[in-house]
Amino acid sequence: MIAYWLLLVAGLSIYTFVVGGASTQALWIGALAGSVLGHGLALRDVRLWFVIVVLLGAGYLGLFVSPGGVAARTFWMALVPATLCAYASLADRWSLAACWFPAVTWMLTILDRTPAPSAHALDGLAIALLGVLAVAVVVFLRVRETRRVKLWQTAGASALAPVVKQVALTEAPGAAVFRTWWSLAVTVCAFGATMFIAPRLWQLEKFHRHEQQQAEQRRRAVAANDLEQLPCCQDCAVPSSRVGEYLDLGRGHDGAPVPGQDCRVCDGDGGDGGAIATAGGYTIGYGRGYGYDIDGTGGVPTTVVAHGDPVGTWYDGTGHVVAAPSGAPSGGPSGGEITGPITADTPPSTDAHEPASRPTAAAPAPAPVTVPPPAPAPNATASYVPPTPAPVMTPPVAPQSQTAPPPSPPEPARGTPPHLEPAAATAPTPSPGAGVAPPPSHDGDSSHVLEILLWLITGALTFQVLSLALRPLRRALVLRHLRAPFWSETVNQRVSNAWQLALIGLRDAGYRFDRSAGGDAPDGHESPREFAKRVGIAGLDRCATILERARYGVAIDAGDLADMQATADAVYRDAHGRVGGLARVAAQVRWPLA
Amino acid sequence: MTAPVSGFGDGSRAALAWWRRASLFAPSLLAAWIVTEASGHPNENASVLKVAGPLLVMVYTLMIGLVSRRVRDAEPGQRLQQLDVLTATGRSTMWGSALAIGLGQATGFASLSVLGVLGFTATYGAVIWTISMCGPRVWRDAKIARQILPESCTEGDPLREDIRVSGLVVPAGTRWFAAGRATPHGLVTRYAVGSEASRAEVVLESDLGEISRGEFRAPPLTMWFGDVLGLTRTPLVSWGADCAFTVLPKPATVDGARDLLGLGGDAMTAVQTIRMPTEGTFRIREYTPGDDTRRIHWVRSLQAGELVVRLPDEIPPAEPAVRLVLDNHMHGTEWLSCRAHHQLLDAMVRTWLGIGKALADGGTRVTLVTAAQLSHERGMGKVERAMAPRAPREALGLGARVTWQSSVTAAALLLPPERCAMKQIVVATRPPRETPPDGVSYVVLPEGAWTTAEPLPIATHFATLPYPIGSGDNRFERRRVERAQVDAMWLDRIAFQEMTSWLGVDKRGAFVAMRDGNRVRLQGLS
Repeated sequence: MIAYWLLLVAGLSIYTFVVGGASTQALWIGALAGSVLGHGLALRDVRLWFVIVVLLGAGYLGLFVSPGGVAARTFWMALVPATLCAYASLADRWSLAACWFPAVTWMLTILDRTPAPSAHALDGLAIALLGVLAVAVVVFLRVRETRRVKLWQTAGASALAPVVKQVALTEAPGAAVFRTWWSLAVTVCAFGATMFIAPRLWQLEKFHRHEQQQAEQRRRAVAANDLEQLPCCQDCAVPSSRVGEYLDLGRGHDGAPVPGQDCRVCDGDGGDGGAIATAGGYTIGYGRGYGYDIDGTGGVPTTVVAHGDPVGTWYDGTGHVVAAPSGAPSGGPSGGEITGPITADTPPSTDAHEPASRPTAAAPAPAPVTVPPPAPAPNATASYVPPTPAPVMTPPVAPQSQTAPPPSPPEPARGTPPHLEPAAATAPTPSPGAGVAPPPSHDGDSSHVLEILLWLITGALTFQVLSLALRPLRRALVLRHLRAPFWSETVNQRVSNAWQLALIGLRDAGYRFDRSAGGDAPDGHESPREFAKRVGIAGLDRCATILERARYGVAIDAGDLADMQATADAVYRDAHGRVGGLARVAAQVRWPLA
Repeated sequence: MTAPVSGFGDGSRAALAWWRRASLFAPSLLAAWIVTEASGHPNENASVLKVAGPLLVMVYTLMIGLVSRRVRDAEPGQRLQQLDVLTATGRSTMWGSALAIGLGQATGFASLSVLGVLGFTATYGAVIWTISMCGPRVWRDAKIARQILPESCTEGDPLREDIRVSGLVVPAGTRWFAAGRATPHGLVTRYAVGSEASRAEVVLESDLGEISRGEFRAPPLTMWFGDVLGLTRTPLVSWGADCAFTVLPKPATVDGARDLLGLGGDAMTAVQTIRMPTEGTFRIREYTPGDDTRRIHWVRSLQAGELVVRLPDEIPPAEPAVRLVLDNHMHGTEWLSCRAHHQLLDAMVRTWLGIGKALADGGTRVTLVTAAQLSHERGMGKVERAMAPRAPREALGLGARVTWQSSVTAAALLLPPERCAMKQIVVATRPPRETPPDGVSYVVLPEGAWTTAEPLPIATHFATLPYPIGSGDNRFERRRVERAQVDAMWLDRIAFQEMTSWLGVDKRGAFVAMRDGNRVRLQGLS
């Protein structure tokens, strides 16, 4: 259960820190509430159908009491699978299914930085997170199996005998090295398979298929050098991509049409541009609406509109991005006129799925196109130069959209052009949640948090490596102290030190002192004499005798102490010398020593 | 009497076995087919197949090679078992992975694809690792010693199972499992040891609690290896020899045993007479060599001028010896799956020994007679042991050996009246159907009074699971098997009741043994 919670909370935390967004709170609440509910029901040993009934009941009540909107939608979309997966994490045989919802929370962050369904499209953090997710799932499976084994030993249809003792009296020296290698091998296998196969199975969301088809059409046209086959630039959808995932949060990536590559320059009517712009004023669902005012009579709203109010940025016709005029009518553009050719600015990322924290800068920039200088013609239609993608675009800030409820416009922008292809017209209606404008950009915050995260991970790893590297030194210091104490100690303590020295050498050789109950010693452990008899190394019985004398208060003189120290040292050397080189190396980093 | 319960018929079992084996390959092939067919664009998933296809072929080749090696090394009857590598969790993970990839292709959710790939990777990795590492070499140097301690004890004493394992190789990433049951209806012991115990000396102990009387040979433990993810396991192996131990019966304290000797002879005068202080004892006689010198009546001897001894008035001299016969003859009990026949025989043995002890303590010479295993070659036969009040161990040992048998009848255990002057008492579960010969009396233990009800299936609530969530015993098929086992026990119980029916018996002169707290009280039937 702890492993499941770690997996889930880590996924949510990483998403919150790296991506964030308005729906994060709802996601957290839904995921945590669902997991608590699922685990609570599971610990009451209820059946699966009962869990489903509880969820249906909760959903029915939720219809009346929960507010509508994106947050509620995200909440319910998180609650239901979180409950089922939390329940499955404790149930029998559903371990893989149990990992699904925690994996979704991780995938939101991974895919947010992934513009295309390919392993090559993953950036460093996404690769690292995917690897960590793969390893975390394997660890979860292991922990879960450990719990199952415990259950197998303690509960079942047959009456079971309790296991009262399970101790290893000896162990194979250096066996820990092989276990470490195995763990590393499993990590590499899980990481490799996930990295090289899984991304190839990812898909773009369905409403991008049309764009894929267009892209294929364009590719063939360019290959055949038949530019007439290219769509008009004003009809050309901006290439954008989003790898599909269950939760409708983030992950959008935009490009821009490149004339001559993605589209061709067509003559057009400014009215069409206005119409498109009008529709573009209500960017919903697909998150963008481009209205190129060909004849220069209208402004080009390019970013998200909340409540029908054009907010954000406009193209002012000079190729520059300006703030949207306040009070601009929602019915269409009324902004500035095109006073010059639109040259090179890429419309800002307006994908409603894409939060402002990873804007177009994260997307692969389309190949820059050198735009010829525009002819100074009064008619912008004649001299229209399609926009050329800019390498970097400062994302606009739309503060109102952060808290604005989603608009409910009738049609997505892409459905407006009359000559839209049927495939686009039949594209699925985007979810209301998708229409929510992204929160204000916090690129700087995100990268800052990312940097801190990386520093923390690096620090933790360095600490672990250092502590591992310092273990031989620690061992050497301890052995030195046990042989000749750094400070003055009582005789009894020095006898005990010598015994510990012998135990460390014996542990190097694989002999373990039985500390389980049932021995002859007063504390219930195996007595030193029993241990010496079992091990059978010369001199250890002498050490055990002197130790027991010290424990029972029999006088120990200087000769006994010297004898104890010499014998214990001999036992240490004898035992330590019996093991091979690999085991000696493993012994150097073992802790505890005895 | 019912056959051993499995919950499934032969056909269903075979189909399930093949389904288990098919789960090794079918889900991944299904997923590959889904990936190929799901997309409308043939080129879209080409890169997946380019990467995963050769990988899958390599994995298949490796697995087939490893499994064939194991099959070749296995005994002829166990070859198909080598294919049963996947556990229930492993099978569900394989099919779940295929489902995840299918759903991932249908819905486009990337997380499903990741889980599907991870599921296949983990399972195939575990399969290859388990098959390759957990071969015969892991057992080569293994020494597994099992003891039930103490080896000889009395009913009511706690027993423990002690297992010492050394030299066993537990490869990294695997666990060694062992399970067993010392007695047919005793507690099940289950052990799981991780790879930290590889080539180590490990001590395992379980508390078996109290066990009813008997001479037992605990069957070998069943062992196997499984990976730490719970996806795969090796075929089951029975390791080591049987482990013998004995639980001696504890004789019951019987009230009214003296009534079995009848009302005649000096038994009636054995009651101590209350005398005044000045009154002497009237039962004296001359001393004869061999008499206990402590019984010499010195005052009378002085008066009589010769040694005179007091006669003990506690021992009924008229009936000095008794043959106490335990009738353990019954057909078909070896096939019964219920516990009732074991409980009844245990009660009969305790009562039998209890009567013997009570009579012997009263001075009667008691000879215990029953049918028991003479030796492995000679089979069942009549066994007689004297019940010595102060040294009952031999008698108790005989009591521990007693089992139901179908070879020696009660009539064969009794001596003919013309050849036997002593009284014969038969301890049985019902009175005889024919009038018993003179001098033979019966003590009967009714089946219903001395047995407990068979276990009921664990009560299940419609909303809750019978066992803690995550336990494999919640699975439908296991519940079905468990229910079938309980049903079989109850059916066998009914059959046993029929076998011990009192229909047509002659109850005259018989005594019934009744439970009276922790004691047994004898009461005449007629």
